[in-house]
Amino acid sequence: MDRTKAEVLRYLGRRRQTVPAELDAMVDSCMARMRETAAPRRVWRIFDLEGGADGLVPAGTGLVLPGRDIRRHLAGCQKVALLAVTLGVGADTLIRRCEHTDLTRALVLDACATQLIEEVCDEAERAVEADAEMKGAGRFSPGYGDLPLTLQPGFLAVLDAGRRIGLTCTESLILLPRKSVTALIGLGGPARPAAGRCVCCAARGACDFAKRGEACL
Amino acid sequence: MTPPDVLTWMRDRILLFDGAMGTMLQQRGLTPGALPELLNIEAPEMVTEIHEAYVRAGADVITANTFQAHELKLGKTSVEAVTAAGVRCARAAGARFVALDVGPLGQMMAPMGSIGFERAYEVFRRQMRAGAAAGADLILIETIADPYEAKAAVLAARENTDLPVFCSMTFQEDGRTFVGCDPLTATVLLQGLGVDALGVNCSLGPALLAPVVETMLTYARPPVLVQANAGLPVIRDGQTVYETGPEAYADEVVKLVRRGVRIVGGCCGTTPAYIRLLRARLEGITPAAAAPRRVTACTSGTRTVILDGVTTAIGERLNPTGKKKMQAALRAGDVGYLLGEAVAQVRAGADVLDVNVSLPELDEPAVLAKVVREVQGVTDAPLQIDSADPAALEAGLRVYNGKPIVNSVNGKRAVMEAVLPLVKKYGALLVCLTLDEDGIPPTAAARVDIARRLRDEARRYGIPEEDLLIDCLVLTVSAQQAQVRETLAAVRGVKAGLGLRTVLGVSNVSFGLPEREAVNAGFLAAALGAGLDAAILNPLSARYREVLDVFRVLNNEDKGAAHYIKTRAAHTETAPPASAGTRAPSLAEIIAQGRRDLAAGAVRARLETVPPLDVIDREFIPALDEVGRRFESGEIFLPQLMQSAQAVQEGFAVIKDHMARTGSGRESRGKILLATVQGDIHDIGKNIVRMLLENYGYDVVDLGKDVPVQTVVDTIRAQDIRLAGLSALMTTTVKSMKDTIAAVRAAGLPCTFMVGGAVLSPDYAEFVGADHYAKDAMESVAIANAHFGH
Repeated sequence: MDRTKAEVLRYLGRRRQTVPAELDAMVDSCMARMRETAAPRRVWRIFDLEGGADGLVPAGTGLVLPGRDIRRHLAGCQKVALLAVTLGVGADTLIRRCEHTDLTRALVLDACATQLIEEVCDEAERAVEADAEMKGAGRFSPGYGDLPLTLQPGFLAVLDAGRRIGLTCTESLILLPRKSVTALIGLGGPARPAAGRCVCCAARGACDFAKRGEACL
Repeated sequence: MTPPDVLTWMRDRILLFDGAMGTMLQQRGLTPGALPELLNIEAPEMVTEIHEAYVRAGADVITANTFQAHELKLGKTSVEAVTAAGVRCARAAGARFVALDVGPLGQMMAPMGSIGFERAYEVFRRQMRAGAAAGADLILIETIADPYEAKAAVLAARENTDLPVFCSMTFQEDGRTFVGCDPLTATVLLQGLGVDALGVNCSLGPALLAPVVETMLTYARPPVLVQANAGLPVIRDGQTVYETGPEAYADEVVKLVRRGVRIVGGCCGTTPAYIRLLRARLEGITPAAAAPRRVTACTSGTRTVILDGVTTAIGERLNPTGKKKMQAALRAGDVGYLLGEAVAQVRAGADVLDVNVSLPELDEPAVLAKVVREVQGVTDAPLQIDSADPAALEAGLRVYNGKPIVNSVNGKRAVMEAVLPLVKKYGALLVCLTLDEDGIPPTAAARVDIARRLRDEARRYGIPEEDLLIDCLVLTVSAQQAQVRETLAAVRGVKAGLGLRTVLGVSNVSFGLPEREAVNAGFLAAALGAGLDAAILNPLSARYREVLDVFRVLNNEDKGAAHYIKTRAAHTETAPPASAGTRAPSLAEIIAQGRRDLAAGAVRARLETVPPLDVIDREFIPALDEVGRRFESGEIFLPQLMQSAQAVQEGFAVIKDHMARTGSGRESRGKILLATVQGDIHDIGKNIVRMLLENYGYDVVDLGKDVPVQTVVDTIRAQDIRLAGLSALMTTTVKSMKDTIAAVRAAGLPCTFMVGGAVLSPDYAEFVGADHYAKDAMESVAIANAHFGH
């Protein structure tokens, strides 16, 4: 089984179970459908990193990155990239409409979208590194650890993300379209392993993976 | 003498707007992410200075710095103060005309997001009133991706000001907006709303926008506007840059002007240098004559159906008349049933869906608006809003996303006076019944006369004749046999004599005859032969589909008979032969394997020998228990559990039908309320819980997602609910969960709460004050069983 499909099945909660042929075919068809429906878009900006009294500051923006965890993540970095990616409204609509006709398929489509946004994030991260001509220190998103989700509106405003990629945020700080990610990427710092993100995840101990004693990454 | 207004002034001129404001402010040190509109108050001289540069460059219209001067962005800062200051800055710069600039809300509207239509309207209304009070000369609604948002803004402008309204949307490289609206759909629906100019701005440079502009020019009756970026934005060294210079920009824009664009200017990345050059290049260019194609078209927010030269099928099934199940669903507020009917009709080939909810005891305007909204959430087929009550028509028209069909008006004076203004205001195609105060005329000629009168009256209201669909009315052949020929003759008369489009409901002709489908199908063929453009029918009937499919081949619509051949091939595909020696699986096996395709048939077979309640208690529930056990132990995973649950769901539908037919009933195992809490808009997990609880025989009152606290309290009280399940997916909405439970407790209602969702944990469950924490959907069943003592 290819790695992409294995990822989708993992998001669906598969551990060692054999996958019945019918479900296997459904995953294939959902992956294809999601890929033809999603319209991945991305935008980023790169700033010098300054230390402020209340937290790190991407220079020239009004944004303050408070907390211990982001400071640790960006330690030693000269610059920081603000990155936003989205699969677009089409992915959400596809899933939402499917919920009315076939809930299992909707769930599988949702997992396909989750896998795809991760893939799109990885590509975007490499593009940021190429643009900066620096190695990145991995992605860190508002909501991870003690980096608050309240950062989200300001983060999107700096990127003009609504106009550039159609990404918005509700008053409850939910990103819309749903399948979207905002992330900070430290640049020009020491390389560090990407693993072990549970340590500073807001859903630590409570996410579906943790409930099964696993990790999402 | 008062100076001419902008519409008069531009009659024989190309109108030139200014260029970017944000780009200029950033050059002057505006902090990225800060609200530029606040500078109207904090640094008005800087804003005025930029406007002055554009005035010197030759711009006719200066766009006030009010793009997002609305309450969602400004918070406590006064919308009125920021708007007035913005208009003042533009005026102070010596602008010939000042446009109030109105950008998008910055949040998504329902069903994608949580902002409802009326809320969006209120936000825009405040801006429009502020702009008019501040003395703006026109309103520019721009950079809009969602046509629904455009509609809210345009209505807010038209209902609260007398200013000209220009509306421009923003398209991506794939030729669509972020929400999937194409330029044809944008054009049809914006001109239906009566904007004074429509067009495109932002996102791309003028060259890449050319195909979008071309479509708009082909169909738009109002002037077309283009304010492009200085090229496609690219990211270089971590910053966005625009690479089309003033020369290249002007070259491309002038090309568009020669194609017929009437209003130009600049968006992101443009500066006074661009506008100055454009001014010079526009010298001596007179507006190109416009000859837009006039089409009969309806739309949703993302799709247009053109009724010219093709045969259109309008699905009739969303209508309670003579349908017991639909009536029951409407009375119970069960929109889910209606949505299922909607999706089924579109899958069967309906191009448009008629929506009628008239039942004597219902609040028709409220229900019609709700059903229109919900149906638009599951399909992008345009709708036909069907009611005899003008108030219901208006409620449906108002919340509709797109340009719908209205069903209907007729030749009665009072009806015309009630319906025509609505159609003019909101923009719609209109079904016109050829009857008047004297009833249905017996002759074709007299019906054609009524059609003519309706056309003339509609014209007086400013409704163009291509927006009319004449219904020559079908009578029942068993009662008035000679009349069917008159109907067909009237169709021919309307087509030949008036050149108008025609529509007919085909199902009534057969009343009182056996094999009604055969009669209807025969009539449909005859009507299509007479030139009928659109048929209102049941698209689930294979017989009608066959007539339509064949006619579309014979009428040269289905090119190369591609659709016909494809659908026939699907029909004749043989089922795979059952492998020899295998026996049919038992019901328990069907459930265990999640064979949804086999469940209904197996249950039907069981019901021949086993009472329905025994099927539920002795077969469904033990089978589900076993599936649940295997899920808990990790033998199977979630999609497999769900496939089994969906198989049971199919079986349950058969049992419900059976009970309804035989009149047998069953006591509910208990009633459970489910809701995804306020602020949270993702509810797939809650829907899984609902399915499982229903599988176990519980009645679920599903309030949906983003449910206000008070709605939960009111429903628990009104329906005496003793167990409620709440779901939240975000740490930010767990607080809503706590508030909801606290409010129910404060109201003194004896309701037990179970909670679940992606971020929930036993700790959180305790924090929100819940009685139970359900770690997954199966556990909610266990909690319910324990609660109700099963």
